[in-house]
Amino acid sequence: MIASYVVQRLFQLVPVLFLVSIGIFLIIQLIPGDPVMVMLGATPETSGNINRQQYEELRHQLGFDQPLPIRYLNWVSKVVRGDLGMSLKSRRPVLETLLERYPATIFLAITALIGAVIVAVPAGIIAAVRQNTWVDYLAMGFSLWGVAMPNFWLALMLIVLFSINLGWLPSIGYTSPLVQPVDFLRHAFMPAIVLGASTSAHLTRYLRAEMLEQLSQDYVRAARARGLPPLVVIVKHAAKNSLLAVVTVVGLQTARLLGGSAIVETIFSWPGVASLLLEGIYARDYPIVQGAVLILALTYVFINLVVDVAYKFLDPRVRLE
Amino acid sequence: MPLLEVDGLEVQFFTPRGVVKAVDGVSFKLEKGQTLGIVGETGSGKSVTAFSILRLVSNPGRITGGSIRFEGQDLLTMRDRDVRRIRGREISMVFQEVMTSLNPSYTVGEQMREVLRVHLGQSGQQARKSALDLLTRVRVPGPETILDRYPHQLSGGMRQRVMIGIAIACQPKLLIADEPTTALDTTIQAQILDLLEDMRQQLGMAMIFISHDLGVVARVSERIAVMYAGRIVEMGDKYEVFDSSLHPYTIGLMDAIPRPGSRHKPLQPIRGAIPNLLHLPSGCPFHTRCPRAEARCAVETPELLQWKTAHWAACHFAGDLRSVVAPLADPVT
Repeated sequence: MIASYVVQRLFQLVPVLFLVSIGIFLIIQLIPGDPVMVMLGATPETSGNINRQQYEELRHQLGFDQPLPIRYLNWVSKVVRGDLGMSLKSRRPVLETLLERYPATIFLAITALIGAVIVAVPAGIIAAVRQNTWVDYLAMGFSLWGVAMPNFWLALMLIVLFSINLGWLPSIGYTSPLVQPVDFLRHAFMPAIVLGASTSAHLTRYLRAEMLEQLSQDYVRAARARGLPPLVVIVKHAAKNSLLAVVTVVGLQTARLLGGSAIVETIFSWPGVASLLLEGIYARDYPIVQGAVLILALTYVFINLVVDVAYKFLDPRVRLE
Repeated sequence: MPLLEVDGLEVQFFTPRGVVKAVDGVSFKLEKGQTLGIVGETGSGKSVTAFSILRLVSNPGRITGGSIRFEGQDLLTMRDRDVRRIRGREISMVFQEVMTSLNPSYTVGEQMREVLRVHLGQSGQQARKSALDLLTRVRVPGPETILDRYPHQLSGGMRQRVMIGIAIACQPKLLIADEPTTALDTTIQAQILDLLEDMRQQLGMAMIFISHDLGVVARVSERIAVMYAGRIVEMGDKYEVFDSSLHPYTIGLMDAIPRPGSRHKPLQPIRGAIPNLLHLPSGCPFHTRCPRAEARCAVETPELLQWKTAHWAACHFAGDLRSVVAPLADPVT
């Protein structure tokens, strides 16, 4: 049942991936001016100084002398075979660079997400159960703060506190959790808080609202009428159904995590894909930009697939439309 | 000692627009194995009364007065833990909301075993066997398969059977059925009513049966209480209440029901509408709609008084009512 559901969901990904690939492909095509000129590092003023022959060669090499659809197909067929081109700056294959830096981004996002969930689930549930008490106000106040806080500012404040004043945590650097888990956590602590704060805040609010909704449902009243202990009614009955809604939000929040990592990775010198993307943009290294966007988009799509399958596990009523 | 003794129960809802007196001084007794039907329109306080017995009135409602004694113990002053031991074990409830009163995320079996686990300490094979027995008892076809089904895979009637199964799991002494058939098809209604009656007799349970449908209440109850605007306005033996109604509201209700053989007698709706519970009329709450009302009705609130051996009514004119409105109250049969 689940297996066939996964297969069906995978088929649904085809059009999504098609649109994603078109978007990424067009990034290069939509650069103002002539992309070949841009790649040669020429500005409109200096374009006259470019060697005509060199220009034509690069144009041909990059396939820009062919029509757009043909170029797209060429590009896609290469991407599918794992060929994302060469970095213009480092002259290394893009895929190699991406694979090098991808784990750091993923480990950070997972750490941030786990942290966010650990905080948000109890906070959301307790805020709902104790609605309109100081606990609720405290949780809601914090979550408002978490949503409103600019993450670069939070990052700087954490660095001032933990690295400069207390000297407890390193403000930059990364070690793989697979090699040195403790050291990884020391390095990931602040970036994960910065990255996860607003996700956690959103989750808390969603979960609280959903819990309030579920707690007013007939089955909750019926469960209480059967004499079930409050913890069973709240956690086993109401929270399970509330988590359904929240699981979906977690999937959507990965966009926030991946997008937010651009700033966080830069501030904490975290060697991930998002900081690679920024470096690529600064250096006008378009193959890198394409590759980084592609891998982030694939991650997002994949996580949402996982979320949909998880949803299926949690809610027996979900069926394919 | 009566099984259940409700005395002067008051429940108020503290809404932003004001205080609503949902239940205003309701008193009744229920002996072991007896059935009491509570009839009334929406908002008459019948469901709130039922929920009060299990102390399940939720915000912004609060029980503000009176006592509810179950086997001599006051449920309203009891500790939460002790009330939980009574809920689902001594007093069970079946709800109107058949489609939504089971948790959609758990199988029928799990929701049955849960109650057996909490109240009777059963687990594993033992709980499964008890659940199967219960499903067989409430005449669910193919109990083994139903046990592993989710609520959304069952019809409304089947869900109500499951709910009755859960309600009788611990052989309670009192079953409260809050409009258990209202959401069901007419043919299923009859089956569920029969099932409830059979279960009641087999287990010797007392039952409080709440409905807005006089016919349904008459079918399962020995005694009837008619509620209006949070009060019991008439109560007594079923035949007494139906055949020699003492309260103009009950008489009005009876005249609004079509009956066989009454084709030439037009149905008489009760004029006016249910009063706004935020601003109840002074005196007798029914006086604004009552054909019999006089000046004193707007001032004095009539008490529920006993007029015959098994017949109470809250009307100033209960004693002479029948002669005054005889043409309307003429027994049809």
